Amino acid sequence: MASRQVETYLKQLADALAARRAWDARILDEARAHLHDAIDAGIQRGLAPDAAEREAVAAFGRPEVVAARAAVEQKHYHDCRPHAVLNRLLGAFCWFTLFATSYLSLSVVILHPPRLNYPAWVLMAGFFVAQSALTLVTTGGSVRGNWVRRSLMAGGIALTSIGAWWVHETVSGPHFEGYALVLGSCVAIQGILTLVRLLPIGGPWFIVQPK
Amino acid sequence: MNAEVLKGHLDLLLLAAVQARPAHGYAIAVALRARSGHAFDLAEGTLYPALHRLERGGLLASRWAEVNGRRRRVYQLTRNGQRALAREHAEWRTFVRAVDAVVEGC
Repeated sequence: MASRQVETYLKQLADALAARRAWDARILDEARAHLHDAIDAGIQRGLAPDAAEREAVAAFGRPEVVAARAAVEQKHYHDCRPHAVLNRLLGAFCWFTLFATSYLSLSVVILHPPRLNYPAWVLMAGFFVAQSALTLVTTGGSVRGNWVRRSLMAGGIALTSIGAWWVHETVSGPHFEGYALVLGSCVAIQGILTLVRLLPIGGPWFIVQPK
Repeated sequence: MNAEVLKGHLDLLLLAAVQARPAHGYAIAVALRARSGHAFDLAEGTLYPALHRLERGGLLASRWAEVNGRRRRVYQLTRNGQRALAREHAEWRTFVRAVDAVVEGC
């Protein structure tokens, strides 16, 4: 159903959104559907089509008001971008740690290196995998709560310490081990990112209502 | 009720509006109006940017669906959204109790 008033309104809304640098095709699609529903409801209540259109457009709000709200919400979204970037970066390090730990564990099983402390490796690999997996499900939004936050914080401190110690031992020790340098650096950075991501109180894991 | 007053509680209202079943934007606006006894004076178009924000935040999920022969964007609560709704509802009840206690004590 094409309605002149609706189309005029949508054009004004598109212009207002563009003027606010908040142009969004989805809002326009949803606005069109919303207005047609509202017009149908008005006609069912006994209004003339013209009156129903006027009422629907008025209830939807002036284009400037809707556009202003969209601009505020989008600005808030862009303001939150650092959190999103940090999430992706942290996720990438978690995946790399999972991959590197699995690869090295497989190498250990196949090659049986004589100088390796096997119990220590099993403990460390288990910790790396558990911490990375918990971080991934938490940043993905599947898990939340104070116990998760505390566990990840403790894990982040442990990761940073282990990674830094590992890198230090490798660089200053007599035997240079490439895998230790790479995985040590990776888990140390992952630990630091985890701490940075969790430290702002009430921020990153929560949705903040824009003012 | 003034739109400015509503803004601080809009997330709670929107999450509650889709709590029982998934709904498209117009149905959400109608539900807010009807359940509030027409107390909320809110431009209906301003619901959509807020719905999109809640979706970006992982509290709502949406999909296009055919409703009464028309293509509609239908919103539903995610598990995170259910938790957020429970949390915000509890905070709201605490707030109301506290305000009542102060006002009625005067």
